[in-house]
Amino acid sequence: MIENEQDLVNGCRRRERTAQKRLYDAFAGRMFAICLRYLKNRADAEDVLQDAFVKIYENIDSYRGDSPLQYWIKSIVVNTALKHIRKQKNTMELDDVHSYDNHVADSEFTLSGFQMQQLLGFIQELPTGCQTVFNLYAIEGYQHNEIAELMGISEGTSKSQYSRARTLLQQKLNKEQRFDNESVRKTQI
Amino acid sequence: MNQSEKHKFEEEWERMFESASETPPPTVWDAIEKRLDKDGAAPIIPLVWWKNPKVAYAAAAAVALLLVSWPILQLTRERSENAPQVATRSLPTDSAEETTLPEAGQPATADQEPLARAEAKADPAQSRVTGTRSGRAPMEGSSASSGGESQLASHSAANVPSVGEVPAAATERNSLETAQPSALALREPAQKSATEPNRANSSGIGTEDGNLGPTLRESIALLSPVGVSEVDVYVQKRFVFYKKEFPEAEITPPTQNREYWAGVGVMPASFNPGVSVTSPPAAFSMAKASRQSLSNSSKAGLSYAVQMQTGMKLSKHWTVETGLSYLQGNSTFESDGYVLDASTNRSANVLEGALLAGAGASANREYAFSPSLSQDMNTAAVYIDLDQKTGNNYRFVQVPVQAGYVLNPDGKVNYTILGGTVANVFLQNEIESGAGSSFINTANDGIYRSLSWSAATGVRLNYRLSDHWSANLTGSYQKALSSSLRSGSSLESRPQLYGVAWGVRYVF
Repeated sequence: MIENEQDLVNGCRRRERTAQKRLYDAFAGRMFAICLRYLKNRADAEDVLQDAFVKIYENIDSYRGDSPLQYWIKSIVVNTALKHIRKQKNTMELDDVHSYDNHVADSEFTLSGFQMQQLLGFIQELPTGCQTVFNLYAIEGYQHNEIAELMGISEGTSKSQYSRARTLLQQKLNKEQRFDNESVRKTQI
Repeated sequence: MNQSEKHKFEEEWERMFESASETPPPTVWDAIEKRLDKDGAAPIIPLVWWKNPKVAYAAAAAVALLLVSWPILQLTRERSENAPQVATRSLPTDSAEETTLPEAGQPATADQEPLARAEAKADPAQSRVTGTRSGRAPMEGSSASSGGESQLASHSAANVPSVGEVPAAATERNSLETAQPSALALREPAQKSATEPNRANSSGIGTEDGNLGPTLRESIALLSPVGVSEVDVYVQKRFVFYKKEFPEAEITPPTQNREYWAGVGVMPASFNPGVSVTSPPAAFSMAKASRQSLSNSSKAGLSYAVQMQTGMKLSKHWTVETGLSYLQGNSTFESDGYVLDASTNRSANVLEGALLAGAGASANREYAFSPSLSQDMNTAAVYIDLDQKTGNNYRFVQVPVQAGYVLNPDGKVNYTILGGTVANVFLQNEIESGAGSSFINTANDGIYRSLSWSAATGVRLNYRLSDHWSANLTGSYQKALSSSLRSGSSLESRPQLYGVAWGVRYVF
């Protein structure tokens, strides 16, 4: 549990290094996991985490305490990640193909059998546009119109990208499950 | 697929990652810290003026203004320079003979004046259209199209950059200049009249072209504006994604990383005044005990100090601090014997004797500090070889000024290495002899220096209790830099102190 957030924020406002370090210690783990979801490799995720925390410390005065500190920090991390993606790849493959909405629905869908690292790998293997939209929609909980505004794309593009991401992920999950089932069968034989 | 299945998919992913955490490598924090240090150390006013962003912006704005204004000025100048030429060239209307430059000073004849007026009366709008056409003519290789147009129009068009940019005012100005002929305008018709006055109306560029060489014609053609349709068109495709910029939070300049603190503490200490007798007091010399008088020592006693401190963090590692401390220094002076005044039965050990001598040497005082002694005891002094202990209770007010270097400044526990000087303001020394008598020396007695200096060093262990409060334990050592007794005394005292202070500190 994080110690008194207000004390931390006040310490950071006074540019106290101890408070800054404690803030970092409290949130860096969760924020690094977010960075890893948005980017393709650890090096980029580390860069984004570094940039994001510098921004956080520089702009801590603008945090008014309306929302929990974690959400404020998370929004800065996500924005920094998006900015990094834009810088890294100016033309992101974002097409409006609607043919991806044919994935198999499964009411019993579960990810319980998967490790988080496995799932993270699947997300990182997605095309960049799909990866970003998927993260924003499925995990962060943004709506498509918000994503469209956030990324400067149309709402339709956001939907098609998400649909494509979902199909690709489903395929990866199915493939992994099949492989696991076969392994189990072979072991039983 | 229904909506609930969709939600199930997303919920699963969200659930898997909602508490996801991955420890970043320590290098990330190191890099952040470096950047924060760099930002904090950024100078407010750059030492080099051209590195000042404001100066750079002003310079950029000036260059941009120059770049924009220069072509406009040039264009304006060209137009103003070209205007009379148009008027001048508009007049030669006829034959090839007119292309030869007329000589100045030739008078205009009356029948040629209407010729110029006739052209001047041409509709400005028509001139504009004609100009456009004639401008295209050389490129198209058709001289016939321009043949019937006035030369005025053709030259006007040649001097303007593009279609539609011919200002009506310019045409009017040409007309006016023609209507009110200048010296040049008047002299050209004069030459015309000399040759073929009746060909004025049928003149044109077609006639003129017939007498021009091919090089000159090409030059004229190059001067003519190129039609829009003849300009090569290059299509540049631009793909822009993610144009949207996220609103950045307002960047506020970081405040200076400087903190202040105040603290209180108490220090149990071992205080040794380091008193030594440098020359035998007179009473001991009289008692033939000079040698014995030099055999003595001071022993430290349990002392304490009450401290108030205040300090400031100069940088991440460096601090400076000062304060006020009240020191009660207890010690014992041991001597091998004492002298006894046989006539009065008064006794004094070597310390008392030396202090008395010192007081006598320093000033003619009433020895108020020593009521049991008098200067007359030298007359019948007898040395008694019996160990004697004398208690000394010193009282000082100390003002330390110390610099500190902090190790592990970001940790919950950090260490500070201290070094500096201490100003010791002497208050009093109460001497309690073995016989039970006591007397007090103060700074006014002229024996002790009012102010003496010590060097101080120490190590502090600081434990952060909260953002504002911390507790500390400080081991310190002080050693006098000079004697705390005035010169001229047969005593010397160089106090030293070892202590361990416990305190609390409030960080502002």
